[in-house]
Amino acid sequence: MDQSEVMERVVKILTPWVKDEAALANVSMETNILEDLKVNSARLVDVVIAFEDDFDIEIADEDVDQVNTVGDAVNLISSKL
Amino acid sequence: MLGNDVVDLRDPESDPESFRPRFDERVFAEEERREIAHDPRPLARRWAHWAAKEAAYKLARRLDPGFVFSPRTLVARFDPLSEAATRGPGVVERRGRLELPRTVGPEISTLELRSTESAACVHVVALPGGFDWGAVDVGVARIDPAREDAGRVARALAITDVARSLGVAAERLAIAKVGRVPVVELDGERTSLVLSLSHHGAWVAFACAPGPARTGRVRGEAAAERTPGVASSGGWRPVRDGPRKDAAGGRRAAPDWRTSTGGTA
Repeated sequence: MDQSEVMERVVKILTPWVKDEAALANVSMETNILEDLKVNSARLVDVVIAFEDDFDIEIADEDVDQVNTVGDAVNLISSKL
Repeated sequence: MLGNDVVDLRDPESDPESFRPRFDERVFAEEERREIAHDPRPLARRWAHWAAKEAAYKLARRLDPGFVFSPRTLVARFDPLSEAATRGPGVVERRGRLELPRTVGPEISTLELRSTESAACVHVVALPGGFDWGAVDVGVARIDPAREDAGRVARALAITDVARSLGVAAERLAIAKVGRVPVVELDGERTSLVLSLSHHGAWVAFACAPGPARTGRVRGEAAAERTPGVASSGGWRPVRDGPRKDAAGGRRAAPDWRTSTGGTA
């Protein structure tokens, strides 16, 4: 799976929980999930579980702690595929 | 040092059914899941545990930037609710503790928790064990999230209340950000006050307390954002460690459940 496909699936999982539609319309690897997309912190845990289920991977809390941007999520997931 | 977190119980995202089935197992320890299930106010109890974890993490992360948010290891233990827990019509306060999985900062491992809960929201403050709760300023306010910037209103609320407690003009205070950590400045000088801000849905909150003596200009540091205060009157009192009593406003340990008048900065 190439990175653009991972990105597409990551954004699709995030989309229902995004509060800032304008930020979503301009989403990029640099977009901050909490601060730009305004996904709340509890939901981020739920989103990580969705990443695990969707990509059939496991993501440790230590890895989640390093995820700030969409790119961080894409790179983390890609490294586990 | 302190941390705080607020949860809007009426936000659709606070519905437990909106989360994946594995969420609870990943976030809450078995004893917490049991306590939530048996609590007469299960929704408030559930989010009190979450907010306690967030507040504890915020506190620990300030002292140890390598501290990882591993929610299931941050186990909040609350005392049973009693008549004494009532803080107003429909508002109760739970008290509890949280043992950090490892010591942070100056030998801090046990935190004390206070969760103030209404039908609309839960607000939790975490402090190191033995800290004087009377020295803590706390504010909670409702906003219209469609019209107001929650972060901005939270900063304005903190400035207004802290200025009143200190007896200084609000316009002399500002909140700057160093990294992701808010710091309180007086006349451009960093104070020793420790501030924690939070917002969720239609609620914003803050907690502020004296911290270790540390003053100096933020200039030269990565202050990404600065919120100035608003005009008011009063004179400056020096910030000291320990409890402060102030004729201009006093200290409040209990949240002020009120409606915001909108962003003031």
